[in-house]
Amino acid sequence: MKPRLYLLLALILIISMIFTACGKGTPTDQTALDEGNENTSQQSDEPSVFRYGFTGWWPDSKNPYLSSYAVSTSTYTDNVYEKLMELDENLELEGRLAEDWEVSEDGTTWTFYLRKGVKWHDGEDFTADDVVYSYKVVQDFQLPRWYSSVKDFIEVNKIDDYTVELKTEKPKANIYDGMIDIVPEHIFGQYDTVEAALAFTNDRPIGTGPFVFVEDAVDEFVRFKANDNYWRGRPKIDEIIYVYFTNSDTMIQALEKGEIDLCTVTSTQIPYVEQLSGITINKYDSITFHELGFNCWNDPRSQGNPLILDHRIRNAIDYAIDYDTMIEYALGGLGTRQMSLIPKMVGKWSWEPGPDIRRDYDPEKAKQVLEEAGYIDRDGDGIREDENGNKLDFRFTVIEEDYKDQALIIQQNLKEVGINVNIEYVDSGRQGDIIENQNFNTDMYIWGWTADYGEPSFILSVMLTSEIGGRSDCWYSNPEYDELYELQKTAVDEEERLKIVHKMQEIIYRDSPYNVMYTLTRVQAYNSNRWENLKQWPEGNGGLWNYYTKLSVSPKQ
Amino acid sequence: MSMKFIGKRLIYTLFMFIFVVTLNFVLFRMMPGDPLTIVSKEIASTPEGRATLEKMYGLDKPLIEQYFDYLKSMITFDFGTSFNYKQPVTEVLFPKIKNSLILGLASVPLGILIGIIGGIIAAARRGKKLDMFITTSSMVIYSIPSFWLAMIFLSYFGVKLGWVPLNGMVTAGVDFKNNIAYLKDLLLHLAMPMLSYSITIYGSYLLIMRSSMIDVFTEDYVLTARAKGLTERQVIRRHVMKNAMLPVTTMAITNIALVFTGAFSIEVLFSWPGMGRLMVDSVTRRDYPVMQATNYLIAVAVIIANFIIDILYSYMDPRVRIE
Repeated sequence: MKPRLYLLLALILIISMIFTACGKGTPTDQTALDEGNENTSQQSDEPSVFRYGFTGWWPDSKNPYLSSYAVSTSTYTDNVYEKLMELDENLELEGRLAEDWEVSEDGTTWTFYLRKGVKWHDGEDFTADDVVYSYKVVQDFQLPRWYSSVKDFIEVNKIDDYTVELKTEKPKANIYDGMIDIVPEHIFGQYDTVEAALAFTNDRPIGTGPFVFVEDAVDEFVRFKANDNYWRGRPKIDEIIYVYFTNSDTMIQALEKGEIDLCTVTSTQIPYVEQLSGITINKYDSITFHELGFNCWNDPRSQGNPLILDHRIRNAIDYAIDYDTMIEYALGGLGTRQMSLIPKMVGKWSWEPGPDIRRDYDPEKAKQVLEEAGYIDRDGDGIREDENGNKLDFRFTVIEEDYKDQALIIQQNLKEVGINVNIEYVDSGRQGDIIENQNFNTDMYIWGWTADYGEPSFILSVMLTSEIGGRSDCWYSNPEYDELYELQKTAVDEEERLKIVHKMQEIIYRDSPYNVMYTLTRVQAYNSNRWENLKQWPEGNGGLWNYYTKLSVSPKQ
Repeated sequence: MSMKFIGKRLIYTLFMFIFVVTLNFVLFRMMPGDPLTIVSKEIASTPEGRATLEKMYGLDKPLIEQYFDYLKSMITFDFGTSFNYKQPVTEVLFPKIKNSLILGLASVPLGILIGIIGGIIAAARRGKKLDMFITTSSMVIYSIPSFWLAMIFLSYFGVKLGWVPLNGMVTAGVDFKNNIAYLKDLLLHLAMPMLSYSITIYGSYLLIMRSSMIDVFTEDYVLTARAKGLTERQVIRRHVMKNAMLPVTTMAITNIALVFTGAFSIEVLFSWPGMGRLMVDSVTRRDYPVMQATNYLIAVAVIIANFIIDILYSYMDPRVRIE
């Protein structure tokens, strides 16, 4: 019976493999590839293929209106679609689908002059109809992803086939925030109800961008080929492929072996990668930061310890933590100290506290601040109390897989200045639940944000009163801050806007709803034996996998 | 075997089924954290955006209505739309189950076979050097973490020798000229995962087979068989094996029924796009539709497997037939 059983199972296996073979034998669009090969004038026998390895989450949707994850944009939509304007290598605005633009005297009307002769990947012409549709559909259906970007535009008007006008009620300083992916109206327009729009999976994205989608396999790879008719000129590379790994160590081995050409490196892998020949490393400061967050909800329903609402305690905590040691041990050195809410690499918007108010590591100063505020250890147990005997004893929820080392260092540092924290380990779902659904049932936590390059409004918004129950996770509320936020939204004059944005960061720094800790340093490695002309973005201190690299990377001769 | 016996078993199975399905629903809803909060860190979510998402996910309906929707979907095998992949759950599950089946059906029967044969040999030569060697090495290999072992294989065969590719099911982005080329690529990718997976399985089968055989050796009828003059080989094949197979059969059937759930650590190590990783990810991300669907399928598989085992047992061992 045994051998027969095995034979049966072997048969099933062979059948299922043949079945797979029939299903996956050829790419889903052989014709797209054939056409591409015909049109290419410069002919080498082998197409040049650049393989980018990545780990983490797989994109959640190819529909730019429905995707929630950053990886969906970087993997699919950034390659296929374009916006009217984008940030160049110096984080200044440059026109993509819009050749030029102007704003009216009163700052409420933006006119975009669209690029002519641009074609969609399926050959149709790009016109103002596509722009108008792309903006209107988000407003009409309240589609999740871009809604907050477009709700300020009270009118979206087609002036002629290549001119579009966006009108706002009040002057809109952050016009870059209002830039969204432009999609083809002749494809998306068919889904004319909310349900249909929400169900459209956009399996074969058609855009105007530098790369054309060829095929993909979920949790395996995505494949693009160069857009021969790209308005900026055909990318030098023939194909780019995103290769998915569920294990970053295997990914580094693949880089070593030459199976992929570029990928991210973790801190533990750096020594190994450094000694590989032909592999070059690129380190850069990111705009992702981690912060020590506090329960700032001054509502009687809050389940937090009311003492944590005293900003002097939060300031003292900042003095007490040895961030440099934390970066060394928790991040393997891959971090840069960050004090204000807007990370340095965001550009000119970022502010740094002056020498009179900046808080460097100084446990003695921490003790002094606490003493002056009336928190003294009255009963000799090592923990300070206020005059009513309430202890500086706080609950600290920590997402174990991300922040355990940082939390332990904080706990130790705070013990030394007379503050006791009790760590509770959770996962990110539970941490969100504790804040949102349990009336903020904790005092301190660690979390992180990724800001936007060149535009501060998103990261500034996490401190708004109106974002309590939305984006905000510390539930801070300061009417002066909210007012300044509204003001900077309409400050079309850049000088003025910079002043306001800097003032806002100063307010946050003084109040400490967050003690921002550090920005993450990212490391990448690529095969420099095989490839040249990769570009950093932002220039001088940035990642290598970006729009400019994809246009210019070429095989080393 | 009476109809009454089968009938009784069927009713019992049905009750189990309803219980498990309801527990499935309740358990996941009881977990703190919900899909919207998970996602809200990733995107700029406004109240309007969240409301749209809620509607998309069906979370705005009252719990009882969600429960009946859920029951209906389980029966019709229409599992709804995945929160994470924004695609119908069946479309998400099908390729992954297929991939896990390929890996599983290659590795599990192999592991079981090696285990059973090894166990028989070890039992037949029990106490001697061969037995010691087989038993000890199996226990050692069984104790080694599977992912560590697999990493060693990968470093050696994959990187140093370069014989096998390092990840995935097929080489990304290659246009295969024909199905033979494709099959060859697939088999190359399958080699390491299959080796690692079977190695993690064979150990327990070997040890259980060996000990159940040794148990049977002490039975009276084995003594009788030997006294009758049968060779050791005949004794083993005609009398011992059939009875010693019972425990292994239970394990094997359950293992094979669950083969479609994949092997998490092997799949993560080799980036094999299978069910193992999907199941864990869907829990981390509170992807209710996928979680419900996979747990439901597992429940179905185990319940059916148990049913088959009951029937099979009563066939193989007449003493078990309960009236």
